Amino acid sequence: MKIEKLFVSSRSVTFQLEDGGLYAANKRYQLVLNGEDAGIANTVVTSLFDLWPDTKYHLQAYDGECLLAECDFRTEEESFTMNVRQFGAVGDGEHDDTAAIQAAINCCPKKGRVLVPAGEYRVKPLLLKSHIRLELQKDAVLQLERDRNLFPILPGMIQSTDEEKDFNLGTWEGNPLDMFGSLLTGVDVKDIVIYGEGVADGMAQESDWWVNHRVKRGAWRPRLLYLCRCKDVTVQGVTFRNSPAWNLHPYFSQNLKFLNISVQAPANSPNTDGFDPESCKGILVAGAHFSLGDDCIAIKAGKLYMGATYATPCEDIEIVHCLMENGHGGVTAGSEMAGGVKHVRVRDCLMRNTDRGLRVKTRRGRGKNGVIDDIVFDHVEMDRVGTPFVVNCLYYCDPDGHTEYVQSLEPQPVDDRTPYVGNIAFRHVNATEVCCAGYFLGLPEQPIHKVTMEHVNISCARAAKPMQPAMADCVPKCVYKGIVASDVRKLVLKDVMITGYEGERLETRNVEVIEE
Amino acid sequence: MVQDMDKSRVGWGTTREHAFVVSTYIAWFRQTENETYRQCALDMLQQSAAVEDMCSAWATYLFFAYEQTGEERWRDMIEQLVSQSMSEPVKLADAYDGLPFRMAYEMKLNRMAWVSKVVSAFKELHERLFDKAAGVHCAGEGMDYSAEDTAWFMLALVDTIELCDQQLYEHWRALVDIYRVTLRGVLKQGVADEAKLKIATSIYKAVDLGIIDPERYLPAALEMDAQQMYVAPTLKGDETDED
Repeated sequence: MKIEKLFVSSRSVTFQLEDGGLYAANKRYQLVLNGEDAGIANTVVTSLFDLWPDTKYHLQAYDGECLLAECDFRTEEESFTMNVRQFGAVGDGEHDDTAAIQAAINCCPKKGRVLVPAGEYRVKPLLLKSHIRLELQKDAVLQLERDRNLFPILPGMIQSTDEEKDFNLGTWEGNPLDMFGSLLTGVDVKDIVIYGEGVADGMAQESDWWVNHRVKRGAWRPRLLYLCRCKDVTVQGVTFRNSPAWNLHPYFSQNLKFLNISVQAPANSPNTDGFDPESCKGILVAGAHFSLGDDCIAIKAGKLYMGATYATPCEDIEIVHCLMENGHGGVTAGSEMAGGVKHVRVRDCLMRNTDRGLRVKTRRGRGKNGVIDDIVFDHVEMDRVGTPFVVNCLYYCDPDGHTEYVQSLEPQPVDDRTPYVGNIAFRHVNATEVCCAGYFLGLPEQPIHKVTMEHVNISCARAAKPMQPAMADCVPKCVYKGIVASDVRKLVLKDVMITGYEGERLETRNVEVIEE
Repeated sequence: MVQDMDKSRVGWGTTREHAFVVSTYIAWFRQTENETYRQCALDMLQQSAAVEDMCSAWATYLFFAYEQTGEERWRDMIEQLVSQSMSEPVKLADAYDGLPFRMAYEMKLNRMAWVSKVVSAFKELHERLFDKAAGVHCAGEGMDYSAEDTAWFMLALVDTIELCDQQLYEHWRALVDIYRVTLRGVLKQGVADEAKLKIATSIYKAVDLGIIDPERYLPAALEMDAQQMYVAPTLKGDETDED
């Protein structure tokens, strides 16, 4: 076994103990740091905090008396610490600490630390600055203001003075629309670390964000973290909870890491996706835990206007050693994917009690730049996941989602509005207690190119409840179904075992090639 | 429905100008919440012509009557108009006659099934009649630029933009882009007197919708507005309808 460093900051480190575990390590390991007890590591990806800047560390991992692995690292330098209390923050959960914390952020010099010590800090949306490290210490909670009338609005599109260009700030479900500022917002910033054992709490359960959530009231709902055109941002260890809408939303951003984060919302909270990278490039999500009311991870690339105008795919994404629970989908691509979703690797993850496991959703109208391709799931365990594999090109989303244009099973013209699904592969996947094994629903005029399933074991639950495996008008509720595939060019099934199904193991329509 | 109305005053709704008048009352009501304007609009709608004679520009405002009163007869009138085959707009001003009504129908009663067709109709008019060199639209095939017809086109655009759900962004934005291009061209060309009030009205609406820069365009609208005294159309033979 070895210790692989994933990230080192001035005050923290995240590392990976590869012992064959998925999210939890196969054993509990005693950690020793510079000869002193540093606690227990029981997850594959683990973080340590409260380190000292510009210091050399020697980390060891023991199994009992046996030293299994060790490594050396040096923490980064740190220029200054801006303790928000010194700026007047009170941290009693009542006082409005926005001005104090924003002042600390704005005044923080390069490579400085904005320190939020233990306490409950009631804040309106905060804006991030480049080159800072924002630390939420243990028992520090940023609590989002509940009254939307006190929030700034980020306009969707602002026309340039010469009326030639647009400046995009706000976004909602793939369109450039007015949104409220998020708890933490970064616009055109870079080189930021947000870390610690503290909490960013949207307090949505104490406000009206989840009431009539599909109605725009003032502007569209804020997120907890919104990064617009940002670069080189790492989020480490922080817990995000009770977001008004999606939790973490990097947008047209690059080179991002999300390590050992925890994202939580009640299972019945509406539209609280955990992590929604949109038109981003270069993302690592490692050791994250999601337990939510909607998709845990949803990889997006905008709707038709953004896809056609900016043609920016969401690509080069690695998701490893994560736990996804209780949401609609474990890892989803779409439905907003008009700029394309490409080169995604989901590896060594565990999904529990989600409606669907690995889910691709799109529809007519997403546009010809809406290409989903090279998506690979490898070594994933699913327990009580309703339908482990879903690719749905007739997804009934958006105000016109149930129209004839979107839902027709007759071939429509392939035009500028037609999306494309390329290669999707599932390898070494075990799924137990499922309802329906898999549902692949292409477009008759533009079939899914290739679905590959290799070394996959699926067992149906003994007392499964019927569910609608794919959200399309033509898909009824069902239970104990095998694999259903329609409008697919090539379906490769190698060493695919399905048990507990009723009827056909494989139901196909318009599948050109089946290879077993 | 029509039989219930006082036939001696039937006649509103047969021309575009009628539609423009009632739209003004509705806009004033929405801005001020003054009950007088609401009642004026409803009174005019109550005096609507028979469906067979009704201008479809007027029909857009039947939705206002339906929303304000909840009476199903207004919906019946709307459905009856929809069921009549509607011709595609040929000339620029024809956009005002049917497209906002069709957008209203799609958004309010038809689950947005064919929003794309309404937008396509605007795009087709724009692409066919726009003179890139001059920066303005011709009034029709083989016709010259007409400020009056362009004004109707601009009113049609802002009314349709107002109705279109912004979440159908590509459609909404297509209409906004056409309006912006049209506005720039019209102001550059200079605006004839007969069109000033309508263009000013469209600018006010566009500012209110947030689709144009108020700093740049509001002064132009105020100037146009100040130069005009609007004379509302009357019903034939009705001396009491002077404004």
